[in-house]
Amino acid sequence: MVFNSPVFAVFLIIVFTLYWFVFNKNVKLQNLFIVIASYFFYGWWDWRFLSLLFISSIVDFSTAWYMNQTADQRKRKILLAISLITNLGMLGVFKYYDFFITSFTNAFATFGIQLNANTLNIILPVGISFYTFQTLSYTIEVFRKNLAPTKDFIAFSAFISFFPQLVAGPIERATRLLPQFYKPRIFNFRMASSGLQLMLWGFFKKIVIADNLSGYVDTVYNDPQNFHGIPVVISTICFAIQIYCDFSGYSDIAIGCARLFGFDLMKNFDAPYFSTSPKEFWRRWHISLSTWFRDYVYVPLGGNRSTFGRVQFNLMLTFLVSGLWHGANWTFLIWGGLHGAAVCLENIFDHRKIKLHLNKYVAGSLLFLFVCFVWIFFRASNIEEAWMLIGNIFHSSSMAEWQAMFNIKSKLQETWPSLILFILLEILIRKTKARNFFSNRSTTIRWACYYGIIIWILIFGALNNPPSFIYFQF
Amino acid sequence: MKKFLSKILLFLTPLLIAVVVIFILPYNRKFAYCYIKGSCYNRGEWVYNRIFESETPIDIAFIGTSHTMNTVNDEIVEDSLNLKFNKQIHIANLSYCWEGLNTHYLILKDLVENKSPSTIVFEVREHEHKTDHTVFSFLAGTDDVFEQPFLKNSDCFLNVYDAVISRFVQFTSEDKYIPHGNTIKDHGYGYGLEIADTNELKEQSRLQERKYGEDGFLLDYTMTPYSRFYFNKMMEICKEKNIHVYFLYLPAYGDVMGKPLDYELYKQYGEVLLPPQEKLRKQTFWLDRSHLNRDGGTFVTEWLIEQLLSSQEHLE
Repeated sequence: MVFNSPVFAVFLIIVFTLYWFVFNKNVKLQNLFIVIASYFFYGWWDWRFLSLLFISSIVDFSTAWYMNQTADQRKRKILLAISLITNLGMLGVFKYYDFFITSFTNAFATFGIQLNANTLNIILPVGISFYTFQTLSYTIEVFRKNLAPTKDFIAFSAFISFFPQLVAGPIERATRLLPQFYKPRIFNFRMASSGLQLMLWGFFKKIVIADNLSGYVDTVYNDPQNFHGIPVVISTICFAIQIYCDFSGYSDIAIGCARLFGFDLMKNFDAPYFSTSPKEFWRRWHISLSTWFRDYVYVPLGGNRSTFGRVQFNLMLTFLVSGLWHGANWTFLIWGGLHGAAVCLENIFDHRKIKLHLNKYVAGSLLFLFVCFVWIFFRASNIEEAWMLIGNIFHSSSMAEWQAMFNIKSKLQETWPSLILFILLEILIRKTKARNFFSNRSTTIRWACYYGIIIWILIFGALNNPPSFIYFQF
Repeated sequence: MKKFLSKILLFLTPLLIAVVVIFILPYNRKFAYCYIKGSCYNRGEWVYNRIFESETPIDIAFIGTSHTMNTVNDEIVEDSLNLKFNKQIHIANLSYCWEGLNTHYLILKDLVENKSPSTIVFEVREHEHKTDHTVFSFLAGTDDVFEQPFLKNSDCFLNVYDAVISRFVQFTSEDKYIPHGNTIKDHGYGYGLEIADTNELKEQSRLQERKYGEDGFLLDYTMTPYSRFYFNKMMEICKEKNIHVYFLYLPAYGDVMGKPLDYELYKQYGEVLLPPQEKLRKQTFWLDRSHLNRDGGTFVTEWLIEQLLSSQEHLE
């Protein structure tokens, strides 16, 4: 069940009504209802993978509970290892088995050794990368004694399976979200209103910007040998905007939806393309994931408490793992590695006190170009196609390639007004702070804006047979 | 909460009124058929023109999916029947890609309202599953949108949503979708020349065996209530208009049953035409695992002509 579907609209109305009018007697009842609704939401895609969600929940609930019952550090480590192996094991099998088998056999083939290993063609359960990380944050925080384990399995299950953020984040921390399931939720008008505003903006980004740009991006990236020069550059920039609008749009809808039920989820994007350095970019892009990797991979590796060289090594390793999290393909590894290299380079400059004295707009533009360049690896199907596209940039393009930019399928022509509106609004929202943007305006102005956005979505949005959210594949 | 709900209702009221108005206002049939351009080789426009704008009558129509489109050469059938009966009999292959009896129903409705066919040949497959046709919501008039059997298929709700969108698009950019001044040809046969891959056909054969063989897992799957709803409506129209009905069985490669699972049902309404599946097990007849190429289409068309000629009472 995707957010931008009529089925979800019906689901949300029913769940909202039952949550606040029927199951509002006490917290436990509300949490139980959230679990039921969330399992229904997830099961709508494929009910068989509900078992994985349940296994993850029960294993982590149990291991955290038992961890707290013993002071023996060795036993606690074993319990943590059980949680890690279960969750990462599931992730590894479903997401990476075929990749590693194929890479393994290809590696041996380069030495002339033929292996007959069979891939399993396993279906990737939607959201597995997200909810496994979310549940691991719980066991790790309990292990670190930053969080007391919960006795309430229903609250815990609700925390793991909470449908707004179950399949594509934000990846919430147990220390932040789980306590919200203990407190009674009282309907808050401002919270619910701001939730709807955020959802509307998320739908605009997804349906009007991301889905319309996907047509042209797919035209180029599905046929890389036939596109050169400026069209490749434009399609890559379009992809940069598409993936931002797709993912941040989804996050906005998730956060907005959670507010309807009285929950506060963390911000996941903070205008990352306005960054002026690689480190700043990663403080603003997919914040929930980057902070997760910082706290649970980078810091355990030693973080910045080591020699300068070791710190850069820790960073690179973290970025490589982060790249691999995004997908079972060498292109994602390269993508992560390049970002890691950029951050390390910035550290080297800082360490050696080398100042480039770049104007912030120049710095921002250069960073944006770098990020777009690296997106080529993220979007391309494989390394060969990525290099092909990069090489093709330096060749001239034909009239046919330019025409492909403006045919009906690409929708690029129609999307320009929406892109300009989107950039203007993003700048405005950033300058005035989102919560103030609408709240200080009169009802007439606010409603006029809302109607305007809805009509804009209806006129310019890719409403029929839209593409799915990009991050669903993770 | 009361304030929130009342504000939501107040906010949504103009939108709901707009939706009601959208459904009350007329839905341009030409726009509907042209809106689905980009699908099925822009065939929607041709189907519209042939039914609504062409002055050539339609005496025998073929309604089905891409299987029919690739199989039945309506021009050859027309020439043969004209020769045999020494009179002009007009034939049109009005098939449209993808399965879905709901859309066949819509095309049939438009056909009988604008032409007076005496015979209709409906394509049938191994079995009719639930399938809601991709373009149904864009073609359907307001009455058809709300007459859907909502309890039999949850996609019906999605169809209402798509119908709102297509009507909204009609308001804002109708001219963008409606072309002007195209020549209308009388026949709708479309063919491919390629030959299917051997391995693909072998795989399809194994699949047919697994699905419909002796212990096939689909053997119990007769027509779903959803498809039955539209099938009944089509048969009612044919009965009311005194239209002679045939059912043409066009399965994928490697058919093991020789006739559709719903054979007994179809027999109640008309003759079921069963092309010789054994003779169709020739690689050179197939474009891919489920569509015949020109050679295969010609073989079935010639067979079909013999069958139609032998049922001559209603054609004379």
